[in-house]
Amino acid sequence: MHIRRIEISDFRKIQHRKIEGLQDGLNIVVGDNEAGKSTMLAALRAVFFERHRVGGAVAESMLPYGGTLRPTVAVDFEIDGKAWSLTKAFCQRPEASLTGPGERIAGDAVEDRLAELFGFTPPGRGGSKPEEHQGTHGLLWVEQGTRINLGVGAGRDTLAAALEREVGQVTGGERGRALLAAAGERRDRFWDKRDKPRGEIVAQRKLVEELLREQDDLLARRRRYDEQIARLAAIEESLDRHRRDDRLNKAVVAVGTASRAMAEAEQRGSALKEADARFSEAERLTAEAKERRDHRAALVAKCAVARVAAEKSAIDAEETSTLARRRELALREAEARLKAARQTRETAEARGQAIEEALLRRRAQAGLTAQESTLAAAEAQMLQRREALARAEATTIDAETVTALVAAERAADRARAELEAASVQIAFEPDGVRQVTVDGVAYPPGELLSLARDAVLLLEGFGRLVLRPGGGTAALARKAEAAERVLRDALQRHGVPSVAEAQRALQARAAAQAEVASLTKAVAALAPQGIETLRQGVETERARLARPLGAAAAAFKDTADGLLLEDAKRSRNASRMVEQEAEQDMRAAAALHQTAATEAATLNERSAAAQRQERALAEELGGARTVADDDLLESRVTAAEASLAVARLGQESAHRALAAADPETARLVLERTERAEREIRRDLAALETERRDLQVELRAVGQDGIGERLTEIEGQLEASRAGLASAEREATASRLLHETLLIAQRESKDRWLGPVRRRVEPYLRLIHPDSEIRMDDRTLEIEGLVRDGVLESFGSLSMGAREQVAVITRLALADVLRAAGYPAAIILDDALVNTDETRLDRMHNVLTRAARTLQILIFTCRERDFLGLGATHRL
Amino acid sequence: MTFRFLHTADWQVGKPFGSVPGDAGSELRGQRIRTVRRIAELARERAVDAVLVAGDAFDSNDVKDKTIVQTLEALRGFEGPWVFLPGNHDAALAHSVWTRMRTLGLPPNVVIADTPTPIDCWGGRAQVLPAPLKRRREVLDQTAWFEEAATPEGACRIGLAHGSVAGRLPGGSEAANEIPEDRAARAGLSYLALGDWHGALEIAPRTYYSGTPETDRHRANRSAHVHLVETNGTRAPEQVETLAVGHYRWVALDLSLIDGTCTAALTELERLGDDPRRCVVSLRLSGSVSLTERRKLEAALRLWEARLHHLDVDDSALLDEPTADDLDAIDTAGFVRLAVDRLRARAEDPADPERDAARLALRLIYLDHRGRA
Repeated sequence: MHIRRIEISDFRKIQHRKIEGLQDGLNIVVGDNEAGKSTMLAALRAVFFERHRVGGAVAESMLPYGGTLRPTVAVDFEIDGKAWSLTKAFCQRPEASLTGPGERIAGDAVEDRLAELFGFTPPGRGGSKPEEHQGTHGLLWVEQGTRINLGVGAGRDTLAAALEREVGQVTGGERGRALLAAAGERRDRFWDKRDKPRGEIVAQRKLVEELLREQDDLLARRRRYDEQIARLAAIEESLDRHRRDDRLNKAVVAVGTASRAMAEAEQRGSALKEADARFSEAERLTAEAKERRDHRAALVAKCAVARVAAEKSAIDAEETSTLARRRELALREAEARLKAARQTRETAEARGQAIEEALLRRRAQAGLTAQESTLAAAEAQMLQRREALARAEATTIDAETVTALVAAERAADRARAELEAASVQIAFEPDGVRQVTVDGVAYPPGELLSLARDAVLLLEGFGRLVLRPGGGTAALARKAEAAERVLRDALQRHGVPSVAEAQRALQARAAAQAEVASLTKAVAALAPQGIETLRQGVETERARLARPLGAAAAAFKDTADGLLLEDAKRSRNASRMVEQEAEQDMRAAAALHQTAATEAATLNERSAAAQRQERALAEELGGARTVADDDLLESRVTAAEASLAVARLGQESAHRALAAADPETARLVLERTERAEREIRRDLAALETERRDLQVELRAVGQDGIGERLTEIEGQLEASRAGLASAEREATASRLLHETLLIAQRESKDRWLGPVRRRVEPYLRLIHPDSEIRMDDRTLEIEGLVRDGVLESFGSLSMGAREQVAVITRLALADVLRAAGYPAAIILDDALVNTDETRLDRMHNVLTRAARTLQILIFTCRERDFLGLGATHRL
Repeated sequence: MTFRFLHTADWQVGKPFGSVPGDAGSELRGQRIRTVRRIAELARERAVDAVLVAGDAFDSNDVKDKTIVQTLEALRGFEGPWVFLPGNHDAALAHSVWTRMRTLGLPPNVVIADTPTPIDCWGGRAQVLPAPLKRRREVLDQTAWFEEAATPEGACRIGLAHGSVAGRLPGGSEAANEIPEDRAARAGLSYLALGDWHGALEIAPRTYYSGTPETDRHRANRSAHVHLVETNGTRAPEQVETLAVGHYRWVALDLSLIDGTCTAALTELERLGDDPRRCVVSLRLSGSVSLTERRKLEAALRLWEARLHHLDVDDSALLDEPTADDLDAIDTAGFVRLAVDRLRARAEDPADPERDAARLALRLIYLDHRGRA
């Protein structure tokens, strides 16, 4: 389909507008905002899709504001190369006419023919809505504003027909969807999202497991029940056997027989015990008699031994005492020798000390004399030093003072010279002796008076002479006086009469200081530790030497010398050695004596003890013999031995009697028969108890009806297993059905939308490479864009991407329609307003490519955006 | 001297019928006691001298006390002697249903023949020689002592035993607790009343199985009867009348649907008669049906389940054979048809491990489709 001419009169804001020469391919209709682009699209929709007799709000919306005109729209277009002219006038005198190849129609038939030509459903009443009544043109003619879907609407069937014309019928339609939903629902009943069983299968499995558990439990209980029954049977059999064999009675009889045999054996045992007791008593008495006899013999022997011992110990004690006395004498002698040697040594030591003392006194005396002379010399030097120091310290004049004084003197001399030079020199040369008084003071005549100031001279004989020297003498005089005063004050301050004197004093001070230093050194040489120390040493020595010598030392006062002292020392050492030897001898003698004395005491003690022992034993033996003499004891032994022999005979006879009765065997038999009886009774009691318990227990279990329940469970188990198998079969089939349907549907969808995808693909490659448009196979609306394998929903795309994808899809769908022989032309009103320049440029390529087969009208206010893209028509 | 008695056996009271769920199973359990009551009534009506129960009166030795008590109560209708022989299900163990019955209080007219000693409650007219089982499986023939047993002159010697007559029972039945076929002859018995085989059967001269009075399984034998026996002595021939006492009919239908329809199955069900409530039916189906027929069959079976006392269907051998019409009905084009074709291909491929699932999947989608329709 190609639109060639549009002419609009009195339609909304358009009074009259005509576009002619619309070409195949791209046509850019440029107009400013409010120039009526959207109105033009509305007029186009009206002429094609609105009934010319439409009234009400729809008709009014076509009228200019406040007008009562007759909106008229005329269009020339071509379908399959055949030209058509369509004119519709609305509101006032509505009219419609359609002229085509070989036909001319007017009035209502025009609308029917248009619906036929364009494949849309004209509205019954009221206005035409793009998505309901305008067929594919609701899709292909797009007004300003971006929608979040294509607005396929009523165009869907036409599109579907177009697609099916290409790929054949592939969808299952409503029925297919319902069957798929039912299959999905059934599958979900059996399987969860992770393909794990759920619902009936799980319930059946649980049921089977529960039944199996219960069955196991019941089987175990029945096993136990059966075992208990078997046990009960065994018990009853045992009890029967007891009864049949009359075991208890037989055991009781056997016990009686054994008891009697045992009583007989016990009696003989008692007789043997008595014989044993008699024999034991005889044995005891014999032993006692023998013991007494033996004890007596032992006592006699002990007495003899004690006597011998006492005698021997007395002899030993005597011998040892003699030896001790001899050794005591030797000890006394050694002690006397020691005493003598000690005296000799003491004498020698005293002499040596006296000589040494005398010799020391003589040497000390000489030392003291020398010390005294040193002290006297040091003290003399010290005195000189002190004097020199006094001299040095007597004057305070130092070099600085002298320099200051010399300067002051020079200043005074200079001032005085200046004054004198300026002063009046007066020489008194009186005639005779005349008194001259200067300022009241007598002035010796003959002396030149130098006057530098006003002065009153009283010249005897003359009178007063007032002198007033001029030329600054007064100032010079004051200066000279001041200098004089300074010098004078300085001399006075330092206590010297003159400067020369001060210089002499300074020299004298230096000399004294040198002398002090020299004397200090001399004193230090004589008394390195100070004079006082030296003096104290002298005095101490003097006092020591003042003490008189002892008498012994005094004897050697004059004779003592080194040789004598040496001789005395040698004598002393010799006497010491003699003394030591004597001492050792004495100690050895003392030790020998001590040993002998100790031994003698011990032996004496022993001898005394032996004698005491001998006396005690003799007394004991004597005492015993007075009670029973030795022969009596011997006769008692003989009598006891005779009684013992008789008792032994009786015992042997009792032994033989007991052995004949065999009490051990009798006891064993009794024990065995008693145990047998006990065991039988215990066994019977235990069997009875167990039987009673088992019967009670079995009765209790029997009430539960294990067998009934077990058979019931088996039946239920069979039914549940069958149920489970059936559920599993249905589950597997449900899954298979659902999967098969899904796969088939997916494959069908792919085929169904194939033509659209094929046409979209080259456009999309230009604008969004490596992406894919995903469409709903049912509504044919855009679901979204798949980029990098991720589906982005259409609504989530940017405005720009959304309008680009929508335009591309519209172009592809228009192409599908065109290819299927449906009229298709694209009108885009203010499209691509959100597209950036780069993509706009690419969209130009898209549009150019689409325009090879489609007529595209672009209404825009942005001429430069589409400049040169196609034929331009200005409003 | 005439001696008249009822010979019955294999009541198996307390049998749980676990594979029959719900009320139906409960009813089957309850019916066994009601049938005992019916036997008591019959004994009274026919004024018999005794009712001899030849073993397995109880399904097991560990039935509930309640079951024992209810059974004893059901006996009240007949005040004459009831002689119970312990069988393999209720063997006279040290602790058994019989010891329990004694503890629960045994009515004076009930005799438990749990020892091999002659029983005479009829003043010398007759003597019952019992061969009780002391174990579930006895190795030795318990009836051997019959030959030695002395009976008063002129008294009818009635043997009472439980087990299989060696080599005579049909269908390879269990050869436990064997009884020689000439026992009656060798022991000079007027009648040997046997239990264990659930159908009424004269197995050897004067040797009879009465069968169970209330059928308890799907087996083609003459169950649901008791024998009314009259005998005049050792030499005289016995008079045996077989009386029906059972309530439920156990019907086993094994059908092969070979024409692709379910008509044969439905026809057989229709033939069950006018009291389907008494029928316990086992329906085994094989062959193949179209999906349309399958749907029809399932609807019909749901109806029959409600009408019968119990219907047990095993259609594991009945295969779906979808027809072109079946599949076209689901869809002729589109992805559904694609899926259907694939499932069908798998269902027809014997090597496909999911062949059965594919077949069932086809049935499911067909039913979904029909359900929508």
